[in-house]
Amino acid sequence: MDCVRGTTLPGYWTESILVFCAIGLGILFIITGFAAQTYHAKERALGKEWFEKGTKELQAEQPENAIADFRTALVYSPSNDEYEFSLAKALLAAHHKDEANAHLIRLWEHQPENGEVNLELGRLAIRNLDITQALRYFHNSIYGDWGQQDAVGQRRKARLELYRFLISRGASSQAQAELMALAAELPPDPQLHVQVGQMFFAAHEFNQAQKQFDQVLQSDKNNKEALAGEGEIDFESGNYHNAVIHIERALRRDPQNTKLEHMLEVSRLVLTIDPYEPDLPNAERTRRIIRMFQQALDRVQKCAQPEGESIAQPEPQNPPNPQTPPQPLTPLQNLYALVMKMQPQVKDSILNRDADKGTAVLTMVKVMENSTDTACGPKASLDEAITLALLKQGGSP
Amino acid sequence: MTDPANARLPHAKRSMAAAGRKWLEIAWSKSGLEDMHPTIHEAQLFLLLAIIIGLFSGLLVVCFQISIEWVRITLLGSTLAPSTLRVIVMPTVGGLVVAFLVMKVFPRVRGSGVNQTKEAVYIYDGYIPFSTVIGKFFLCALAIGSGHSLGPEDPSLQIGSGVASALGRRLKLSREKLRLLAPVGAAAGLAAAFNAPVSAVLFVIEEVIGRWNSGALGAVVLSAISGVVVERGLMGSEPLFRIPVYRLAHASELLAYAGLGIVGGYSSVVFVKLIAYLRPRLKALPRRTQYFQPAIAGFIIGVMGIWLPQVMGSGYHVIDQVINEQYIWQMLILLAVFKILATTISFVSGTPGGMFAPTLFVGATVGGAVGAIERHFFPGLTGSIGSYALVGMGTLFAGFLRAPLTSVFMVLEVSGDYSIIVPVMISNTIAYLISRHYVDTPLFDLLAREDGVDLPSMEEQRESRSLCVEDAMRATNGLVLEAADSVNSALERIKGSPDSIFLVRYKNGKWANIKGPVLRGLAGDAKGGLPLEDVYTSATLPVVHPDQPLDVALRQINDWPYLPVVSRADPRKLDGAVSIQDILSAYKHAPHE
Repeated sequence: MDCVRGTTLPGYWTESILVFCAIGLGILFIITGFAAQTYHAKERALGKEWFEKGTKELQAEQPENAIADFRTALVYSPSNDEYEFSLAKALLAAHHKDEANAHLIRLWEHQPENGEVNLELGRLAIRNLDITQALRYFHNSIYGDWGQQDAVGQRRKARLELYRFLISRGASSQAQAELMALAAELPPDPQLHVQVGQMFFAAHEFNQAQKQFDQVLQSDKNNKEALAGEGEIDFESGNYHNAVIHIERALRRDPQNTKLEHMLEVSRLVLTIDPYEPDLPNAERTRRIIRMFQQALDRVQKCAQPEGESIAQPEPQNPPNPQTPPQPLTPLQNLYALVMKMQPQVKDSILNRDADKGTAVLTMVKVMENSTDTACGPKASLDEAITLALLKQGGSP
Repeated sequence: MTDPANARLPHAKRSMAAAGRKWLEIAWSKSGLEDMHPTIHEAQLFLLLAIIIGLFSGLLVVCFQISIEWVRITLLGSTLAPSTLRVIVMPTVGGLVVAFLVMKVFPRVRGSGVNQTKEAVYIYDGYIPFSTVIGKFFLCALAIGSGHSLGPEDPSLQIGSGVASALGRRLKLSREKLRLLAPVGAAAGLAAAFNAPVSAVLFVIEEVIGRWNSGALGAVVLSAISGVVVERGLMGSEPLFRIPVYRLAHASELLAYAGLGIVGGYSSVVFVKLIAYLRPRLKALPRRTQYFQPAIAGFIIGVMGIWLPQVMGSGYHVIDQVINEQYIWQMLILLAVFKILATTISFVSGTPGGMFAPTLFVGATVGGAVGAIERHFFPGLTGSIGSYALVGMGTLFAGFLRAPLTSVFMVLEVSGDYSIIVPVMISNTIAYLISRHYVDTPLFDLLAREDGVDLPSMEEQRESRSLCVEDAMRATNGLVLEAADSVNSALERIKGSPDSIFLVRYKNGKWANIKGPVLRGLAGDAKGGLPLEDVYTSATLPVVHPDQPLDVALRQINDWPYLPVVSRADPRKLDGAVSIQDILSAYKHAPHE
């Protein structure tokens, strides 16, 4: 093997070699730079090609194929957040929660303010039923950056989604707080106001719900959903006069709505049967009380029949047999016995004379309706109206 | 003097080279620059050369990486799961072409490149033929690109050292500098390939040079940085892997990392033993079979690739996927097992290519599997699985390549997170110890010995105990004379002593020696009442300290009968003395390594 011995170099030799090195480096830089540029362009093109393929697969609801495509895209553009986000969405669609979480967390570390990433993390937290994390990520999403997208719309959707999750988890106070915030930021879109109004209604926030429906009716007085909403609020609030007005108007726009039809029927019945209506003549009041009593009694009797239960008390044995002890009475039999005891006094003449008797009869009506309520299933409209009319006066049913 | 580069050229080329040199000489003398230009010392030239080598290596490694990818896309397609036909045919045909070219054109291209660089340093005075660089470049690109389970780092290391060697030869550097240039280029190549300058510098020092040589260290660092700058400039500064945030879920999780060290250690042992078992057996087969061994290896890898395409090629994107938790633990175990098999088959068949990337792949999959299993059984005790994969990479590096320092810093450099250091150190140390327990010789030393080359083992060098002065020194029995004492009192002290030479201690901490007859002569000259320092002048004795290497004493002792061994805290305090006989005796009786 030859080897180089240390030597004194002529000046020109070293410097010439260094100049040649510099020239060589320059040339190699140009060649390598060109190769690197071409290579990067090719990588970008391949990444885009696989990303587009994956996007189509995901749209065609083939997430497993999309995952493979997005992974390939990421091999060529490993730091492309859009590709990685799409991969995370495909993984979520294919129920690969852990892997999706890893990608989303990585993206979140890059862009903690990204609304979309936070939203997906929030959805993952929902899947894991983790309210704390869901609130954190959804709030990040709501106050986050949505880039080129419709930020206001996206934030609203995120808040709506969070609200639904909170309601489903029974976190009603947190849900209502979200709803309040949502209502405060609503654009003048009737559909949105109706949607939020319905949510307030579902949360029994009738005042807030009414505000939303009123706002809609100001711009579109015939909006059937807003009218229905107003009608339902009136109905639930015991304001049956207004309920009839709003529901009738709503039904004119939506005649097939059976729920509204039923509410209208009940509202009308309440108005015709309510014994507490102000300025009601005494005779009419008595007539209504007697009608309510008869209806409740009918229900008690009908209620007992399908089970073959004899509503009347059994005759006492004469002489009493010590071997067979007396059968205990059923609740309905007890109630029926009390009603029968009261029935002779449920007459115009007595009730007109004694207002307290009328009150006692109404109390019995309430007891009968409640007893049959638990024992006999759904009520007829009139029974429902009786219950509502009595409820309107106050006290628990 | 014969220029070895020219010696290999045919006559016509030699004539052209001589003519060119003559032209340069004339141009130089006519230019008037001869008088103006400052002299470039070899040391300065060496550092400048380190930067140039770094730049050249960086550029070549970028081209090398692009070539590998280009070959892969051309042969296997851009998909991660190529068609069965391609998966079978391409590695087989690639293996056939590579084998033919290795046998006929580039015989020195075999192997990973690390040992070849060490051979250049320790045997061939830094000489690496440039044809090897060319062969390594193209054949490795073809082998790795066609799907053989090998990596580009070790070949990049050899490409870098080949470039360094060629430049050094052109500049007619001394043999000593030429030897140092090969590791300089190696660091640049490795740094550019791995995008990790610190790890590259450490690996070259740990595995190629074997010691912290201040002469080489500066150049190695400069070249590594130059290489990485070029690589990042042209290929982008994105990290090699997308690294998740490391978090330790609980202190007891360190036990899981210890478990990873055990699993990683045993995996390394299996990996090394498999290579150590198969390689000599395949090499012993008739020479003609070497034309087909890479093709057969390619075919087997292709068959594996039908079900597990991830094991083909260097597998960097798979490591990234493992770090980002894209595989379940069952799949990770499968990948680790089949990657070990695929890499062993590729490597022992003689296909040129590196072992770094496969080691990292196996480490990442083993680590990921351990992390995923722990999460499965103890969900509350596990941090990120990606962290286990990262630590696993270092663990295999420590166990398989037996480069413990590099293995720790590699993980730190790749992750950019120094909080991961505790698990890395725990896991790596355990893997390293297990590997050492079951495998006596580190992989690269094993391969060199199988090839019949006795390269110095860096691990043995690191662990060999050098003799210190305290191993040779002896007690002075208190016969130390104070320079402030009178000649008569000094004579009184040495009365009856069998020694003939005595140490003299001065107040300023200097030491001298005096012979008995000289002392008696001074007393005879009527100077007995005077202090010794006033009547006796002698050269100051060099002193040594007990902890200094014994060769320091050997170099300093010259013709002195013995040297004082003094405390570092108090130069007047004598710990002992050492003579040339003591030193030689210590060397003679030193235990053999």
